Amino acid sequence: MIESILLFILAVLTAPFFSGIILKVKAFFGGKKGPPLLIQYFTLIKLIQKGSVYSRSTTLMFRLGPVISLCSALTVLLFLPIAGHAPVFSFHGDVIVVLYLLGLGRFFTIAAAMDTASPFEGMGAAREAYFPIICEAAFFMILILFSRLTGELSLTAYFSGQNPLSLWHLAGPPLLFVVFAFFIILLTENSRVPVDDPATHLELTMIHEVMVLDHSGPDFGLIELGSFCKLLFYSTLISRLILPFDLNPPLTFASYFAGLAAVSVAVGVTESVMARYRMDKVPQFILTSFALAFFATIITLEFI
Amino acid sequence: MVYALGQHDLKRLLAYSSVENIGIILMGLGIGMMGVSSGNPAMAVLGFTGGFLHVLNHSIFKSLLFMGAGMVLHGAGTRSIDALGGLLKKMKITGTVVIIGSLAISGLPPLNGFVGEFLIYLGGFKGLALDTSAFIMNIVAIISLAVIGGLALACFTKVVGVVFQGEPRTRAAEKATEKGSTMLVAMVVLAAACVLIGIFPGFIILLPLRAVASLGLGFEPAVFEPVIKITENLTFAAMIFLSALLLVVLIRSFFYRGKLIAASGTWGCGFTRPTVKMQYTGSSYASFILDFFRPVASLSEEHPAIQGRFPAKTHYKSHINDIAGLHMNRVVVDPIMFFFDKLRWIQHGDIHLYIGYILLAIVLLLFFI
Repeated sequence: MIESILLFILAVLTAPFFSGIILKVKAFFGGKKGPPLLIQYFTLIKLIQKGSVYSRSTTLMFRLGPVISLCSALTVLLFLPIAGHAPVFSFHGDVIVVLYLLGLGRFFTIAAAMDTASPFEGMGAAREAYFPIICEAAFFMILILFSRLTGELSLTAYFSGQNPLSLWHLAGPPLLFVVFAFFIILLTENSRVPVDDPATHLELTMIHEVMVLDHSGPDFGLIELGSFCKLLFYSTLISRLILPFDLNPPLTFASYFAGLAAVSVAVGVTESVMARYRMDKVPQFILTSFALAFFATIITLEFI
Repeated sequence: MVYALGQHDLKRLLAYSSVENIGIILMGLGIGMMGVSSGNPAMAVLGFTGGFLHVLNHSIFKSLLFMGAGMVLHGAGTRSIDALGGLLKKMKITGTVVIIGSLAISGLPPLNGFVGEFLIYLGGFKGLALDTSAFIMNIVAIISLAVIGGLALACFTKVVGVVFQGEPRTRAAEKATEKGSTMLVAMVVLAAACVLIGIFPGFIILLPLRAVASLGLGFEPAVFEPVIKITENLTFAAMIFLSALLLVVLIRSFFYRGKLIAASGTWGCGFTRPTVKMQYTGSSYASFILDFFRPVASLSEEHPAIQGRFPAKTHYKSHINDIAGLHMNRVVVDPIMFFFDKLRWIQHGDIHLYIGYILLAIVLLLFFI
């Protein structure tokens, strides 16, 4: 239990590092030296030292938005098996609680965005309310596959210890589809190219960035930390699937962090070689993940 | 739910979303029946309990939302979503309880809507171990629940965002006030019930369980144990979330100690004259999603184009065509109305002939009975 809590704290502390890797990879593709790997830590410290400016149109919901989004991201990490170790808490069906907690964070971020009475935030909020609908369908499809393979419904049953390896034994190649589907879901939920461009400064092209446009200071720091934790959550799912080894502890940690770094590099490469899709092509992109998960399920129907 | 997204009238939106919630209830009952037919008592109990609990939960949060809509109508004089805005600042209690109701109806933890949906999900996942046709049905049920949850979130963030957040869009909304303490008390009680049932479902779960037991399907009491364990898990998860919330609030207040907090206008990207009409309206919020569902929910829009090169006045009206409503009107309602129109001559307002009708009816009845 103590180890799980320590791992949780370690995960929260290292979450900004992987976002830094993505920035470094993107800079490399642009022939630039890029920001230092620890840039997001400096950003968080800088934000905490500032004060805030609040718009006169906003109410308490605007202050609640960052709090609840960070809180839901942290609670989600409590249920996640980190580095293959058992999570701090787990029970049957906790995956659904985790997904809906992320939805709770989304509700409050959208409400805080609409609170500013700015059309930019409204635009971002409308898009943010739309794309996760398809993402949830895809994630649940993957859950249906896993639940059919293992008969259980908790994150620890899929991603801790020997379980990912047994998933590969049970389903084999269709799990590759699942890895791709998870990658597409990661790109969508964390607002990466080709769904959203985190580096754009054109409000018309933003989704997530524009919703947090009016937040400043420690509030913004809370939001950034929450988004790093969400990125860590989705990267962990992929990392445990692509490197499902459960060896003696130092090697497992090494393989886990290597997996996270590999996912971050993959995200950076994707962001550098692709442009963001036109807004009406984005639903098709996310539906691809649903189709992949669906086909993975259909294929395994014969194997079992 | 898609039709709910397209509505401009607050109460119609709530009515359409009630249709969606009845669908969730029936899904739960269906999963329960599938459990009974496949001899899987655990699945049956989960499905039925989830369905019955959702009936209870829906009655609580839907009445809360309708009362909130009534307060909005009372205070601002209009039900049209696109004419309201910024009501959270003027009607604090109404706004807060409607936000709680919206969270509950979107099925978000730790409120009560989530508990019912969670049980239905668990029942559906249990049914995945069955054979092909039941398996497909369960997949459809789970995916639909997921999509419905997302659509409900979109719909009710529209309600909360456009009606209660932002700035008032019309004079009527600017003058909105909260009156009537008894109405407020009723809503606060319902909102408290939503929160309590969500965090401590163990207290209320006995009601649906008793209902399932009374169905007389021959379940032994041991089958109900897992459901109680599930509610304990949910309470546990809610407690973790609330403790994390407390921790984050404390951290935030620590960070904000001694910091400068200023107020200013919303950042307008260099616009010299932002107006409240520039905010996102309900229809713009929903239009993106409705575009995806166009075959089922077509939108008829009226938007005369601006002639000439300079900005001029125009208007935009949109109306979502309810396919069921349209076709029912054409096939059922119109022929019946046509037929009964022909019999209109019976109802002509002459009281003497009405008395004659009554006499005739009495005579016929006495004759035949």
